Amino acid sequence: MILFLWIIISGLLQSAAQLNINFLGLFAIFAGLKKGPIWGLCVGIFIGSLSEVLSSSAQGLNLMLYSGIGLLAGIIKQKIYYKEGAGQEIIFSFFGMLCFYIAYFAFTRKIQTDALFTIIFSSLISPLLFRLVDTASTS
Amino acid sequence: MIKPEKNLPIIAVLVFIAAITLLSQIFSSDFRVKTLDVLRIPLKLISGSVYALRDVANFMEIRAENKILMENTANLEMELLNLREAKLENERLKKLLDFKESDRRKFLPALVIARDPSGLNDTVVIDRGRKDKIEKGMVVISGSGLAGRVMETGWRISRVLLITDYDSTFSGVIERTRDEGAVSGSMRAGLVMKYLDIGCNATKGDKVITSGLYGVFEKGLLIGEVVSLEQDSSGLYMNAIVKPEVDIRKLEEVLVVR
Repeated sequence: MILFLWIIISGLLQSAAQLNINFLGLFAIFAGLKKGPIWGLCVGIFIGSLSEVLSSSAQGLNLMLYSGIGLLAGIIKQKIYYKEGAGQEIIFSFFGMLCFYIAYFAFTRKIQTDALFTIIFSSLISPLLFRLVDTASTS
Repeated sequence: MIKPEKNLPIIAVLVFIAAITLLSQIFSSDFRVKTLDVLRIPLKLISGSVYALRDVANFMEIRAENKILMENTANLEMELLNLREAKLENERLKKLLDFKESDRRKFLPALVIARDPSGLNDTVVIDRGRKDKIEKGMVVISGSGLAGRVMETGWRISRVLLITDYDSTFSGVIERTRDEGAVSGSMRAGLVMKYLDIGCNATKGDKVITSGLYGVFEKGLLIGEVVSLEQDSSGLYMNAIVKPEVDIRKLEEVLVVR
């Protein structure tokens, strides 16, 4: 429940403040890494739905991409090696975000000029965000 | 025998496909705008707080700007007196010539309350909608330059497609040389004016305005200024890189032209 509240607040903040951090993408990756593919998918769908409302992208695109990276993070965690730690979180977040922007470009042919900066910055703050959300969810 | 634990990723992928297919049908343009209407107040609160924080952070800059503006006000007041005289004279002459008054445009101020969260679309949400007689296609300006046009309207919010978005293309003209071209958005890199005549003698600093062709924008709105010119890949035309007059990244308040 707390996680969903975090997502709504972060989504609105990201939309209103024009931040160079993709909080929504990080939350989808967090859910996949912590709880597995199904949970990653469910949280991804929720994030995608919120993003669909706030964004002007083609219908269903955000829904597909956010749930896709949540699911992917969950599958990779289950099928490939993943050990909890800041280093792995940064690597997973980096590649998750990279997949997101590559897929977005593949579908729309649009590229954000500072996408790489967003990917790097988002992945660097991911360990901090993951711990914050983890602590808030368990307390 | 099917082992749910082993087949979990496959099940998840199937659920993913089914969920996307079904749920994406819900998010029609109408549904999105109606939901945004509901989110208007929290978005307004957050964006208002962000703008206030930004103002506090830029306090020294604002103070210097205020000093310049105060000085400008004194000069403008003098100019206003002269203009009032000119206006009266103009009205007298119009009466003499039986000149018909054209429809006066109304400007409606609006606050930018949200942007595209992914940063991949240059669109903004403003706090005015059908309630304020905002319609799809209306021109949005900021300061002295063109910002975009209304693409969706809700009851109390509207979504504006900014001129720098990839999906924005309209006809422009270089003010000095009268060369026409298609102005397309190039996201935060600015604007590109394509299909200029190969012999076009525009130079850096030339102003670009809307041409009024194809009915997208009315004629004469300031778009920006030419930063550089280069031949396009086919070698048949020239392309101009145009810096928008409006700072799209810092857009906080806009005016909707009704």
